[in-house]
Amino acid sequence: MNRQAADSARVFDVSVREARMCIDRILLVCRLPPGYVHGVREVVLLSQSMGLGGFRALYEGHERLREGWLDRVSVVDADDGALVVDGGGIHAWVLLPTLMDLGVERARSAGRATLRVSGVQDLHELHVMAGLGRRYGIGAEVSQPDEATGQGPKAVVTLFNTARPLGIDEWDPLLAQAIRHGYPVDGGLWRAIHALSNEALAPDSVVSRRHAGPVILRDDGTLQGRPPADDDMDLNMLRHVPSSQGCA
Amino acid sequence: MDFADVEEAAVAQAQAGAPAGREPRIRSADLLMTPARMGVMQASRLSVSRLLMAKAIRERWTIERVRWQIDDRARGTALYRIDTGAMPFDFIVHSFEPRMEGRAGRIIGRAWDMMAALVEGPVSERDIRITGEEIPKLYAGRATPGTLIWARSNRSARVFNHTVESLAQGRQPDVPTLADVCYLMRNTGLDGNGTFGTRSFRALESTHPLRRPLDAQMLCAYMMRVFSVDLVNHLARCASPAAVRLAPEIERFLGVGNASALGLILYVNNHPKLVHHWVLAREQAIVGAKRLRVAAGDAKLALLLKLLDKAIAFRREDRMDYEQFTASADIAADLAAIRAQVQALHDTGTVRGSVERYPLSALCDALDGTVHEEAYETFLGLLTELVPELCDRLAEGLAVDEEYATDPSMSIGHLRDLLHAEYGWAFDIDLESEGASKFVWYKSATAEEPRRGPRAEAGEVFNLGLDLPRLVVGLDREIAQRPPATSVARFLLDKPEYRFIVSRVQTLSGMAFHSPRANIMGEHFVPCEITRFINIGIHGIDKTRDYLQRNLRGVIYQGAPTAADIAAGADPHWFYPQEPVL
Repeated sequence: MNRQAADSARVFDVSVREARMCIDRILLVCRLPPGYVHGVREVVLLSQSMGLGGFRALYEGHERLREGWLDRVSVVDADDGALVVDGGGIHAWVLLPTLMDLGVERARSAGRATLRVSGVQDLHELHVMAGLGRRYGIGAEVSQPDEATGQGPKAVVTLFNTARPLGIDEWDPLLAQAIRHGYPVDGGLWRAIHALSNEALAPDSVVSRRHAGPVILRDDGTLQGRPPADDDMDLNMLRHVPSSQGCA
Repeated sequence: MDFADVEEAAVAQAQAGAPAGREPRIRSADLLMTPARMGVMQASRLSVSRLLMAKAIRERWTIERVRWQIDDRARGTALYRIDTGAMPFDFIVHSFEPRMEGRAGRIIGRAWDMMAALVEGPVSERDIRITGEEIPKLYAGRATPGTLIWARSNRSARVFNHTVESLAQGRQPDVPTLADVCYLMRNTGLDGNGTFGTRSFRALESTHPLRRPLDAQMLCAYMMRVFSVDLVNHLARCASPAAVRLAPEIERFLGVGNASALGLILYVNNHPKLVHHWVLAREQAIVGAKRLRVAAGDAKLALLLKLLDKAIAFRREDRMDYEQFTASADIAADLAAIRAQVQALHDTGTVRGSVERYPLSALCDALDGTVHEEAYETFLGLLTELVPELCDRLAEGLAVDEEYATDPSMSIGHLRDLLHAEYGWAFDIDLESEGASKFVWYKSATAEEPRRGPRAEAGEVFNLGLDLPRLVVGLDREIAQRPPATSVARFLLDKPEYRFIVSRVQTLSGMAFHSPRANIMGEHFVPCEITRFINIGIHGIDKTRDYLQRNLRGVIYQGAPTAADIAAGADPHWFYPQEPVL
């Protein structure tokens, strides 16, 4: 039995720090712009906390995050004051940080905001807005007119001002809960997520090993830099990289 | 003494670079946050190793060796219990016979002489067994509940073996040999705060004894030192029934080694609020000390003289060679010059013949620029020892979150004002020349080692370094092309790739000290200056030798009390020890 299979029988309490690190890396691998990764990552955390797709959806559906960027999105002001958002087929998680920004701006200026959203993959993930809104002091109600199917093509999001959060418990109580207790995750799933996230790490090589450390082993076998006086260094660590650790 | 006004010192002073004067003020971020200046910031009462030791001494923590099942080849298990009064902690040690293969002073190493866990105690037999099974797996391992830190360390072979052999022969080791390295074992990894399933720092209860930042890591480092001494005594005894124990004077002189490298630059990138609050707290403590109304013969001046004497002797005896940084002999000479002026103040109550409202502040003003910055910062660090209660209170405010929030309603005109008010330095940095973007930061698949290499060599990697000045300048350029009344929400709809930097700028607004003012992608950036800031300033590590401008080796807890000293209530000014004379 391999480790992943063995761990499937266990539940890991994954810390917020671990979860963020792995999600960040997976989103990078999915080629989201680095400057947008943190916003989507927070959405995935809330999705997990709220019992939506969460980590399993990230692992099983991460390829779909590559399918379209925000340049496909159109936002139109309707006559009734609502914002009409056509996602152009992108995933809800990718749209959500921007959708929240637009909704918060509108709700703060007008007291309430209505967003009519369509053209989004995994539309039900818009329920994350109820959790995300608390960070802004914004309440959110999400409805899907044909929600009975669970995959309604349109959603209506109503946002309204509430009290601004003070401490972390008010800012994001679900995050505060996760900070205290972690996210309970099937061990096998977490191993798989961790392995996937490692694709963001650089394959090891002799040249790469010169990019850190107190000395550099040159091609001619000589050392650049002075070896630490207290160090018993196995120079073989710099001469080659075991096949299990990279692609020397 | 009322320090309330000190703690309320307006950050705006730092932001705006308030003019120097005799009224004590916190210094400006323009001065303090360049890498070169951060690299000379010295230890203080707010360094975390000193904060923890002060707490342990004050509360008379006890450390008991509960179990010692280690053979004559260093293989086996040990268990220590630290009783803080409020809560016990267990330190589980799994010890191994040293092997050369896979040994490296880097995290890519695969051989360790000791692996340990700091756990909220008391632990069970099952905890000990599972910890022993899981720790060697590292990234594939999971800590048992209540674990705060996983640690590993290696011996300094030369000093360790010399010490064991000497003790076995019935004599103490040679002090000069010890003083070349100053420790028996060196920390090669302290992983906690959620890593490997350890408890998140932010989850610690308000009454938790290790609730302040890095408390748990520092306790773990201290326990490494305790174990290293027990191990040399044990191995010497195994080698000879006539062995003697390591003398307490030598035990105090030896610290625990530390190796730090590029990962701390990423740490600074990821902990801007902690960096800000720590630098601000240190400045507030310095101001608090400068405001002391000391007079001739004042006991606080006598203490300051004593601490300066320790620092001077410590620097004079320092046997380390530094590549990038000033020799300790030069620092000692400057400290001696400072001492002469403190002595004059002590004797006459005046500063260069003048009666001053704030004599220590006036003295600092007189010294600034006349001695090496590292000597000056050493002096300022010593000043904080005059206000320990203030430092302890300031330390309670260091536990901050690092969450970011976006304000979508802000106009981009306002955002641009923030950029120019708080990041003016970014517009003055060379970002265009070839060397200005030479490097990329990444992590290796092996052990996730942080690396920094020329882009041409590193190949296709994900950059993990915060390219702060380029992000700021790029954001400014985009904003300039749009009407200032545009909201941040609408701007980010058009340019979502700037969402992170917008959040960071908005969240950190008003915090003067959050980030080094540097282009870390450029060829002129010296990584070990930032590493040194963390190691010396925040950690309180001594003798940080530099290698290739990117790695540091130093000593934690040199001079710290022994476990017995702590239980008995040791001298709180344990740092900067002199070489023992036996």
